[in-house]
Amino acid sequence: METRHQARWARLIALLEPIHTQAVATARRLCRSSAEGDDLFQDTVLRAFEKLHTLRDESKFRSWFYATLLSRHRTRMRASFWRRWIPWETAFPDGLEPAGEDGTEWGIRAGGAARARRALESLPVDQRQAIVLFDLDGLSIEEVARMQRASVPAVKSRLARGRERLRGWYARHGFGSSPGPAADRAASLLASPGLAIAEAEEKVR
Amino acid sequence: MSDRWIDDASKAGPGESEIARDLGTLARESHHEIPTLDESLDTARRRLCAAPRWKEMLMSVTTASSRRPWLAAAAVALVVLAVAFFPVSWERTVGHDVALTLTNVHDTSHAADLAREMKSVLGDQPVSVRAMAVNDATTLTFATYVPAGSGVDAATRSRALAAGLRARGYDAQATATPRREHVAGPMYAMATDLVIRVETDGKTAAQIESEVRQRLAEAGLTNTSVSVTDQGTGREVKITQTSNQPGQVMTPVQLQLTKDGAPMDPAKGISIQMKRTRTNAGETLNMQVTAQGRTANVSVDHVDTIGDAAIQAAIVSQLNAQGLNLDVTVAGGQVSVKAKQ
Repeated sequence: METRHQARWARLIALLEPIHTQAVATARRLCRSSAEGDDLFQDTVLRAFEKLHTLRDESKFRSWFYATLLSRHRTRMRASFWRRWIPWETAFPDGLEPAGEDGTEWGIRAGGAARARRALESLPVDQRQAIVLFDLDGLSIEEVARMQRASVPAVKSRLARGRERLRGWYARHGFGSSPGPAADRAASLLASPGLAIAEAEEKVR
Repeated sequence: MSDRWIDDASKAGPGESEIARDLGTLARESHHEIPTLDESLDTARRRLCAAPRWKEMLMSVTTASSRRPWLAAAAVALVVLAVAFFPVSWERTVGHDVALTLTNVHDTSHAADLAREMKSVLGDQPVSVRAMAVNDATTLTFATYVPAGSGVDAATRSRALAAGLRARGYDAQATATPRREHVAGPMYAMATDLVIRVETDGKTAAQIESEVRQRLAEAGLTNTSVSVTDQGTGREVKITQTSNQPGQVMTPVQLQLTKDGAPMDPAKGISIQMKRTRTNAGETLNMQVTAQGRTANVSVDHVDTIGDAAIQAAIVSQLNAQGLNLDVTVAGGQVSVKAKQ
């Protein structure tokens, strides 16, 4: 029994090795914070371990693992339970730039990433996943369709709708072609990470 | 659609360059300090060990319930229905075999009249007669069966009949033996069996006591004692269940007193459910007192050792704390609770 258990772990590790870094990054991009993304990845690993016997063709492990990852993410996002929690990094931003880096540059980068997370969070789960996989991870539409277990036209539609929503979010928050009335105020607030973003959204509405 | 925002930030439309830049920043940031595969697996394994299977299942049930509250409500309703209609078996008294024995009868010509008298007293149930010659006299045995649902207190009426016959010079003895059957049915039927409903209007304390005792016997509860006493303008009905077998589950009995067919106003009376439990640590008294529209729960440990005064003080203090101001007396370990005069 123990040997079979260990053999299953060994098989999973061998299959995970080549895609580990990319999969963790995808999980982080899908979530509201890196910590939440790491948690989603570990959750997916456990699920994959349980369901590994259902994987028939090891050459399709990447698609299979990503499909599991997207499924776990979808389940979490649909559960109102998870939405009640604020990511630790958002609630308590440390506000300290990494040692040796330029503070201004770091602040701009951190603000941009946090803004992108907030914008992605405003999208329906399927659209968010499609944009992350296609635009950020660089996967092909066919690959995204396989992972999302959807048709190619459905993925194209999700991408188009998701992009439209993102444009709308940026416009509403004072970025892009049609800045809102509180654009300047929002832009200054949005430039800082963490709670300030939620605060800015509240004031712009 | 083959163009990616990040790759084509320069070609992005008005307002899109900001989005492309932010998405690019997010893409790079998510690669920052990625845990190694070993670290990720270690954490995942720790989670696997920390959360047993049943906890994972409980978590998914909780999550599913929080997502779909109607599902949780439906599941609870289903369980309640299943439990209510789940067939259980229990013993109940379905009636009484009543035997009236007249010994040393020298004139048997009145046997038919006596049978008719017995029949009329016990609710027109068919009566059979058996005669047995003993020396130069005859022993007459009248037997009948009184079903539980007939509304006749077989034990009381048969005793009264025997007393009346003795007064008329007969050597009469009456016995009423409960006929108990093992019945099977849904759980709600068993619960219904254990609700004792007694109409009090126009009845004396003794009549009510007899009726309650009969209902308890019909429900198959033999380890109970009943006392109904008039106290000034009030009346106390006390049902006591006793068991000396450790671990025996006591059958909960619910007493419903009615007046003119309607349940009596609970605000005008005091209802007390008392349970004494003996364990190795000592005896514990648990009471549920309902009065003045409130219900208070009282628990006193070591009642077998602490003495009447200490028990009384503990009960009064717990009742007061729960908003009930009642007159409590404890004598010889027996607790009595009354409304303040």
